[in-house]
Amino acid sequence: MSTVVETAPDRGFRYVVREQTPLSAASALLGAGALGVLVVGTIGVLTSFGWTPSQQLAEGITSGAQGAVLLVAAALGLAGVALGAWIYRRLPTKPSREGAVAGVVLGAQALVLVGLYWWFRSGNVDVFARNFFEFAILEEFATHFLRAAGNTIILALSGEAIGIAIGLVLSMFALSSRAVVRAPARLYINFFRGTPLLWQLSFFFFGIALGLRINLSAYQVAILVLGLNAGAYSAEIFRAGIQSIERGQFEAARSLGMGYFKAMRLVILPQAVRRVIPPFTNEFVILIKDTSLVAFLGLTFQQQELMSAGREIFQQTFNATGFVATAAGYLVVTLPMIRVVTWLERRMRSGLTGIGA
Amino acid sequence: MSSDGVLVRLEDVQKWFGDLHVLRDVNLAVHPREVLVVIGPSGSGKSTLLRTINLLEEPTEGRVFFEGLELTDVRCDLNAARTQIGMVFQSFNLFPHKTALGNITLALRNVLGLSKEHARARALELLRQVGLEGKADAYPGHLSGGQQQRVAIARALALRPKLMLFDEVTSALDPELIKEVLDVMRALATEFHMTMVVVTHEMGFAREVGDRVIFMDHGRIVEEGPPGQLFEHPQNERTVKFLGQVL
Repeated sequence: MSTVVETAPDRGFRYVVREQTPLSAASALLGAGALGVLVVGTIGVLTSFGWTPSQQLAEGITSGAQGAVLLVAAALGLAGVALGAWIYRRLPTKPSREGAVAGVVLGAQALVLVGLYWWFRSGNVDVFARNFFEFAILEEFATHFLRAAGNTIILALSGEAIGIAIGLVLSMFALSSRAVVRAPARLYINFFRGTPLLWQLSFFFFGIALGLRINLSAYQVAILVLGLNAGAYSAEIFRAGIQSIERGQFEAARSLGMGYFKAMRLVILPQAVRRVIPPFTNEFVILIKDTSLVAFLGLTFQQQELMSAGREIFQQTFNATGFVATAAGYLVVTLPMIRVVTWLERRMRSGLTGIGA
Repeated sequence: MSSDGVLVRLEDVQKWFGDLHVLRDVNLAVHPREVLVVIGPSGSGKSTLLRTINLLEEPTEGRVFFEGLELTDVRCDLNAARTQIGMVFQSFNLFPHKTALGNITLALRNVLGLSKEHARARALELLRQVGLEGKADAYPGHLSGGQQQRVAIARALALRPKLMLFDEVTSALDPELIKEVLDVMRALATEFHMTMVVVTHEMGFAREVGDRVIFMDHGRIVEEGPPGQLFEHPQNERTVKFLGQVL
C-alpha cells in the first residue's frame, strides 16, 4: 500500500473557471452581465426616482433610463446566447463548454425577464403602482403586521404539535393487524383528508362552537382544527415512515424480549422519525400557508394572522399593498423554517450512514 | 428445566404460509450444551424452523416448549422467555441509530432493567469477548459486516441466554470476514458450552463444531445424526444428493 497521501484532483468551481477559453469566458460573462445590468440597473433607476410615493415609483418604471437599462440588458443577453450557441461545438473541453452553456442560459433568463418587464411597463403602471405598491401606507401597520406574522407562527406551530401527537397515535392504529382498531383510524384520516380545510374550520367554528354555544374563540377553534387536520396527514407520513423500516429491526427487538410498544418506542420510531423529516417539512410548510384560511372565521384585531392583516389593511385603506406585504410575510416565515428543518435533518443523520444518508 | 432434561421441544409442528406448507410434522428436541446444526437446500424450511423456536414464526399447528414451558400457549409470557433465547440474523439487524455499545445496552436497560453503569460494564465486557472493545462508540454503518455480526452476537449474549439461535449468520459476509464470526461461535460452543441451534451453509463448521446435524428438505426433517455419520454415511438419497452438491 502506498504511504503517499493522495488528494483528489480539484474539479470544483475554480477548476472550471481556469479551464475557460477566451470565447467561452466571454459568452458566460455576457450572460451574467445581462442579468447583472438588469437587476442592478433597475434597482438604481427606481431608487433614484424613489420607491415611494407610488407616483415616483411608476415614473421610475416607465422612465427612459429604465428603458435604456432594459435595452442594454437585452443586447448583452442576446449576445451571450448567440456567442455561446455559436462556439459550443467548437470548444475542446467539458469545462469550457460549461462556460458556453452558462452564457446561453443566463442570457436567456435575462431576455425572458426583460420581455416580461417590458410588457408590464407598457401597461397602466400608474394605476397598478397606486394599488399594489403604495408602500407608505404599510408604515402605520408595521406593528400590527409583525404581530400577525407571530400569530401565523403560533397557529402553525400549535397546529403542528397537536397534529404530531394525533398522527403518532393514529399511525399506530392504522398499522394494527386488527380491523376493529384500523377502521376508526382510517375513518378519521379519510374524513380529514377528504374534506376541505375551509369546510372543517367553518363547521367547527360556526357549527360546533357557535351552534352548540361552546365558549371557544375563532383563534382557539382554528388551532384545534388545524391540529385535527394535520393529524390526519401526519398519520399517513408516520405510517409510511414506520413501514419503511426493515422488518428485521422489529424482529431483532422482539427477539431481545421487547414487547410491541417497547420495540416501537425504542427501535422503530427513532428511525422512522428521522426518515419522515423531509415529508414533514413539506407538510408543515403547507400548514403554515393553510393558516391563511383562518381569516375566513373573522379574528379579532389582536388575533389576526398574516392573511387577515392583509385584508384588514385593504379594508381600512382600500389599497392592496397589504396583500403584497402578506406574500412577503409568508416567505419570511416559511423560508427560514425550511432552512432550520434542513439543518436539523443533517444533524440527525450524522453517523447514520445506514439510513439512506 | 423440564424433567426430561430437554431445553427445547417441538411437537408435531406444522407451518403454512398461505398455501405453502413450509414445516411438516416437525418433532425436535434440543438438549442443554448441545450444538445442533441444521442444513438443507434453500427453501427447505430451516430458517422457519429456527424462527419457530422463539416464536418469531407462530406454528400453524403443534406445540413449542422451552424449559418445559409451552411458548405456543397464549398465556405464556413470550417476552420473558425470549430474553432466555438469543438470536442472530443473516442480515445482522443492528439498530442503526445506536452505537455498538448502545445496541447492546438497549435491552439490558429497557428489558432487564439494569442500571446504566451495570449495563455499560456488561456491554463492554461482551465487546471485549468478541474482540471489539475499541468499537464501542462506532455506529453500525461504520463497521464491517463481520464486525457488525460480532456486535449482534454480543447483543444477544448480553441477556445471558440459555440458548442461542444462529440464522445463516455468515451468508451475507464477504469470504474473508466469515472466519472472524465463526471463531466467535466456535469459542462460544467449546469454551462456554452454550446450547446452540445453527442454520448454516458452512459444512466445515457443522462437521467440526456440531454435536448433531439435521438435514431438512421440503419442510421435513429427513435425516439426523452425528456429523461424522451424516456427512460420511448419509442414509437418505436426498441427503446424499444435497451433500454431493455442496461438499
